[in-house]
Amino acid sequence: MILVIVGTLGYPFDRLLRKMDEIAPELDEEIVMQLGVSEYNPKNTRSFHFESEERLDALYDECSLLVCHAGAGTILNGLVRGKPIVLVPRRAAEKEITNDHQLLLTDKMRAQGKAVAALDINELKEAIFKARELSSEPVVADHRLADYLSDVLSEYSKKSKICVPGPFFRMRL
Amino acid sequence: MMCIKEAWKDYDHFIVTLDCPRTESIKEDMYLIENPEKNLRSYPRSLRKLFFMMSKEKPDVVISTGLGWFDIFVFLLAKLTKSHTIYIESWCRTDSCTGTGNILRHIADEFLVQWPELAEKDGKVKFRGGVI
Repeated sequence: MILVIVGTLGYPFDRLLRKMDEIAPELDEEIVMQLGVSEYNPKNTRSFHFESEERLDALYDECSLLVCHAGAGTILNGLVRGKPIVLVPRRAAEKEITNDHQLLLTDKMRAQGKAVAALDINELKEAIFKARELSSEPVVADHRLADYLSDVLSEYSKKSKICVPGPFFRMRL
Repeated sequence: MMCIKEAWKDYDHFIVTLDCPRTESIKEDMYLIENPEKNLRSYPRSLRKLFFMMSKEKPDVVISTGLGWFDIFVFLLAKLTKSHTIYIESWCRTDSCTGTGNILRHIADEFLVQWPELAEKDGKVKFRGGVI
């Protein structure tokens, strides 16, 4: 099963959904698409708007290939499971996001051989075929950051108060 | 934040997070801040909540992985209570910092980025590893 994830951003990503729906019959594989806030109604694929974290985890586990926007959480979910990834970065010019940092993250992932990119949406099918050929191992978590913070905190007693603002999203690292 | 939990979980800590459907069900007390994208008028209420939180808790250390623009307010208050402040820029920023990050670079005691190339470009920021 090919899983298509556009993330939970407040902007639709119809460029990817339309193209995926269009090429679906040529891929010989079941396709499940997350539509997010899009109102696009796919004809050739299964789809959902939003799902629980548990259900999303199961879909990530189950898929053979991940086609997605270049969101950090989505990419990490694919990488830790060793799934081949095709990235289609959201573009500010298409009003799919507010800035183009997804393009830069896509470049990094491609340069490191962690993902295939389809910068031109018309190259999506070729990118999927290319990604299918790649073998990928699950990436391992980098513990250096946590270790560094442990070192910093080791100067404080266990009774010290630590304030931790940030997102608390499920991540299997 | 879940990736660096090992570092702080054994200390007396408190969580501050934006109210969002993807927030992991955290089985402990926390300060939940209304998502300003949903309701801009929640800003003053949230700032007041953060102010009372910081004056009550007086943390020794603040480690943030991002709370939108609220970080700036939290870090300024942390300066007053002389807390040690650490800001960790998002993994998704490979080439430049977020808007909040660009301001906090000058305020935080330590500013960590998750890509070595980004640290090379800017002497104020450090690379000490990323999520992967």
